[in-house]
Amino acid sequence: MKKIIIPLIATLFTTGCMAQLMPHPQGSYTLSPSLDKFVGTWKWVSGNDTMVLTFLKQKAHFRSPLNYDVDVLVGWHSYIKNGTLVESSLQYAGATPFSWSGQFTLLGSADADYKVGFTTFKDITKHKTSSNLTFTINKFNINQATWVLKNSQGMKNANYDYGFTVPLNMVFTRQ
Amino acid sequence: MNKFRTYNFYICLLVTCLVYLNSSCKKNDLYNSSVKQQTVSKNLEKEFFKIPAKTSPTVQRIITRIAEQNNQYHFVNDVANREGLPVWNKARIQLPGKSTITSGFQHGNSANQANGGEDTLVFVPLVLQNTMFVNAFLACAVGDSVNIRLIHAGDYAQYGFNNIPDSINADRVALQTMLLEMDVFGHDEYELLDSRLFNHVQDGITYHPQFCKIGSSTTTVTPSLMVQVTSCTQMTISGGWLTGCPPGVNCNNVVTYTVCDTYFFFIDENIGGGGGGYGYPWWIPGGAGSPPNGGGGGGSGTIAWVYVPPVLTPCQVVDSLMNIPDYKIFLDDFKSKTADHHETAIVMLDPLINPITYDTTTGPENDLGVNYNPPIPVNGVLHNHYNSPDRLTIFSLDDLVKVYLMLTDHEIINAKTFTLGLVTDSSSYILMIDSTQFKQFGDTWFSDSISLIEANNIYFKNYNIAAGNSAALNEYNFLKLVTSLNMGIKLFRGNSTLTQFTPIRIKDDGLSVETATNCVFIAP
Repeated sequence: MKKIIIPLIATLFTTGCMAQLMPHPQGSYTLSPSLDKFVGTWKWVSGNDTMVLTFLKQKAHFRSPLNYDVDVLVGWHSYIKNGTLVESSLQYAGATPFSWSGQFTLLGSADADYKVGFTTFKDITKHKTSSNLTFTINKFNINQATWVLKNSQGMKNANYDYGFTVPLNMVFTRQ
Repeated sequence: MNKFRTYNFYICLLVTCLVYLNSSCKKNDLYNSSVKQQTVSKNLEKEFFKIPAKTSPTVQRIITRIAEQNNQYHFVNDVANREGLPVWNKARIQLPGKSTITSGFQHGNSANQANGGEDTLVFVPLVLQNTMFVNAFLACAVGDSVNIRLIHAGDYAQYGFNNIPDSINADRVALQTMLLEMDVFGHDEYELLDSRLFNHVQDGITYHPQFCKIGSSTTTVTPSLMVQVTSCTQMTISGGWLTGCPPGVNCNNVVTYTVCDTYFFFIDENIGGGGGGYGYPWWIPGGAGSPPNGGGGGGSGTIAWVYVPPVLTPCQVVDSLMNIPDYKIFLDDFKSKTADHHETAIVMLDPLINPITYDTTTGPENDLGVNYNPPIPVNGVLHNHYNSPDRLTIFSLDDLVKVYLMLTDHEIINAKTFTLGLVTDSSSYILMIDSTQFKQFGDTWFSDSISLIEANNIYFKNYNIAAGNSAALNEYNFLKLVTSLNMGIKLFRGNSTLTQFTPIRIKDDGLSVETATNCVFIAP
């Protein structure tokens, strides 16, 4: 009997410790209703330049040892410069349920009620990804939102390209 | 008057340019190392004759003698480029003893030989620029005259693996080189890549050591042109390295091995003519009329022993760093540079050796990044996050990814002692890794773009490591992440004066941060 009890206690203790360290309980699904206001299509126009964003809220599963689900904001974009399409992922918008290997180019979650912090923005042309993009809805005009894109913070390889294909600062209008 | 002004202007311009060039060279020490060293032959004559303060008169006589020879043969620049620069203040000076010569080569200046016992024997290490090993040494007899012999460490095999008492052999060249390297770089543990070195018979068994450690040594010298050296050097290593157990492994098969023998260094000038392939005025192996093998150009062999860094615990590494004056200077400098509008980083060849060989790089203005690839493997990186409202007070995910890439691209000399430092306006940390565990973590989360997307989400969202957080909250969240994902990271927090870094970990209950006692980082 002792042989059974001792491992059992040890297992419970370990699980208890890990539970304190995990941001969400294992097996849980954390909803994020504040993301609903971002869902839809947004557009920025400046002369002959246009950028279009489409956002969907989807359920993302985080693998072991985390093992929980969280709502995320998934997005796709297209960018037209001087009337010419430079890059686009809009053709993949909403095609499938969320997968980490999906064709999305934007992935984020709520930083605040009206602000989404994107941990992923894929610059298709430059083959680079930034984890430093915020998209903030104007509280006084919920049909307008500000896009601020920067490079991810941190040490990088010598040949790193600090530039982006798309503008860094834009104001989008809900469509 | 105008002409004079113009002349002065050009002089000033020239001086400014020279000063700039000089400072540029210093900045880029590390980058100059591997790339240019082999292709560009620098003029190193001035460096060669640079005499450190308090250089002994005996060594100064050697320098003077070489300068005289160089006026005639113009060989010093070639020696410096091929063999290395002398470390004059690390010369081993062995004062004359009272013994008389009993045997040796019958060659050289008989008048000086008759004086027997009057010469001082000096071994001067030569080190190639931006390297950390002794490549060659000068064996010099300083008496009525100064006689010099150049010995290229990589040519050890040319001296043979015999054990003839009155000759230099491969073991003795290797041992002397290691002794000098111990003096210059503190290297006392080596892996032997040639199984013929330091073979040892004990109880009827011949041991072919794979590792050796230089212990205490006592040397008495009976100098003259044929210098008798009686050297007892403890090559005994606990843990049984002589039987092939690597450092740090608890090996019970212990063999004690003490090298203690008498041999002769024959030191003479180029009486036999020629200097091997170099045309130096010094006798070198392969030179005309010179024992033991004759022929060949010398100076081309490969050194068959490599320094094995000691196995230090992470806490010992960080404590040692705090005793490196250069490292403290860098920490303070980086703290003040957090007021700049760009990040700064230095990559260091080995931050545990003062003065630190390093190179500096800065990131673009108003961007929270800094990029580099060390041209040769390094063992330390220090960087800052400048005072942007968007800056993190802890390591960013890209910082960790970069360490993973350095590890997998073999840009780290020794992962066990590699350190990544961070200084921000409100925090400072040193990070170390457990190479196996960290690589396993990186393979899972950093090795492809899909995993990286998930990792970014976990880092910034699930664990809320964010620019707007207090340093304490980011530290707590970072350590929770380190522990729950078993990242193989050890974190040290710096105090406000950057004089002490304390090992920290998440508390057992997961609710706060505590000091990692006895250097144990993962909560049980």
